[in-house]
Amino acid sequence: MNNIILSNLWRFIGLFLAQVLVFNQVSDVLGGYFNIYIYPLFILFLPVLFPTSAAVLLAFATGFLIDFYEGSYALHASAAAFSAFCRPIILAGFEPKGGYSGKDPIPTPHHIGWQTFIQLTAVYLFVHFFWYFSVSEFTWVYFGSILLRTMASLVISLGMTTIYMGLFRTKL
Amino acid sequence: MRALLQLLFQRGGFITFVLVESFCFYLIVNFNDKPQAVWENSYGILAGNLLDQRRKMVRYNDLPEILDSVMWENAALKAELMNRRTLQIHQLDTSYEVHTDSVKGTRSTPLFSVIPGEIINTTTHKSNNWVVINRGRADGVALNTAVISQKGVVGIVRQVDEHYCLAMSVLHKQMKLSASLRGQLGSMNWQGKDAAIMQLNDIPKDIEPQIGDTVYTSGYSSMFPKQYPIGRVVEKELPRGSNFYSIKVKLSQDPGHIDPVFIVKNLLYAKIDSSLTKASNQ
Repeated sequence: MNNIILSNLWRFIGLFLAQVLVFNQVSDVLGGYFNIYIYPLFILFLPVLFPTSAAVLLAFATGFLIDFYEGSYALHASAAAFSAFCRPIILAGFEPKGGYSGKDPIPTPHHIGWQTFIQLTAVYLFVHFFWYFSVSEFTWVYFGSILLRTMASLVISLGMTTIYMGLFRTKL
Repeated sequence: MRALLQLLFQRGGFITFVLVESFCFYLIVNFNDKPQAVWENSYGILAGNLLDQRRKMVRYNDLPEILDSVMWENAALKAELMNRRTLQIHQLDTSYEVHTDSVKGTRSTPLFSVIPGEIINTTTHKSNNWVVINRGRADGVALNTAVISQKGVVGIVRQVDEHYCLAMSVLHKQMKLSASLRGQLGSMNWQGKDAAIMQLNDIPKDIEPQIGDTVYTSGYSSMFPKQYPIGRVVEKELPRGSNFYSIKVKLSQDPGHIDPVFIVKNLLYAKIDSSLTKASNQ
């Protein structure tokens, strides 16, 4: 049990620092369309059976911290809370035959295989990014632009996620 | 209470989500420039729309009063216009006009007063038609006053009650209107056939009226104000051997669809009437 909390804490610190110190700066260089956000993985990698309300609150707090370092207010918090709320639905959609294996399973390639993992992460990040860019524009008048930025950010963030998973091979 | 707790427990995720998103929404629209601008604009439109609807609903109750005040104001303006028209002295049909103010000793007291009213009952299918109006002696209506509408003439008051009056419609066999067409005096009456057509006689053949010409009141009857529209020429005929046209005029005020009316009172009618009687007796 302590292991799970610890590993999640470390993951949180690692993702947060990587996001704020590296990827935010890289995104600035890449311009408005390609935004790399990997911090949602922290929420995604919570245990599968983690209560939704707690996940939503955690996501809100995480997003708020990211907002703090980006100089925005509650945009990331709102998106993270939304994706956290959608998490059980998405997880149920990608549930392997016979359910998620292990005692306290988390949705990583180790448990569900690379292919399912990439699909799952893509859907999760899409939900997150779409909400994020929608609230940052706050209108669907610019729907095309929102969708374009969502897809661009999704592709590049998914690439970064794959590298991250290859490096760390998270099991817990 | 237990059911509520159970609901909270089961739907905890959703409720947390809604609460968190509401808080986010508040922060987003208050502290981010772009969402704030969008929100304020949309909110302005929404709130404006809602308040406008409310205003319309509230105003609906006031409509009768508003209508009444507008009608009285309209009547006052009409009276003003009629008085101005009457007080101008036309020298033949030249453009030369003399305004009373510049002529010494001319009367400049108002000649007409106007009372707004509504028609309660009217007919158009009989050979002699009458109009009942919701104004009477109490409102200042007198005998032999003209009834006009926004568009044209309606009739002449023949009986006055305390709160109602009865007017002889233009669709009455005994109705005679003094009309002018292109400055020429004529007399109009109703033939009793078509409820929208009146007959105009006594227009000499050298006038050559055109279809579509407007026929006005002449102002010589001392009842109707001068230059008030009656209708338009729809048919003209010069009977063989006659020096006068026989003209059919379509009334600009359809007697079947009567809008609010105005009762026009000539303040000097009694005086004019008595001097006329005296003159004819001599």
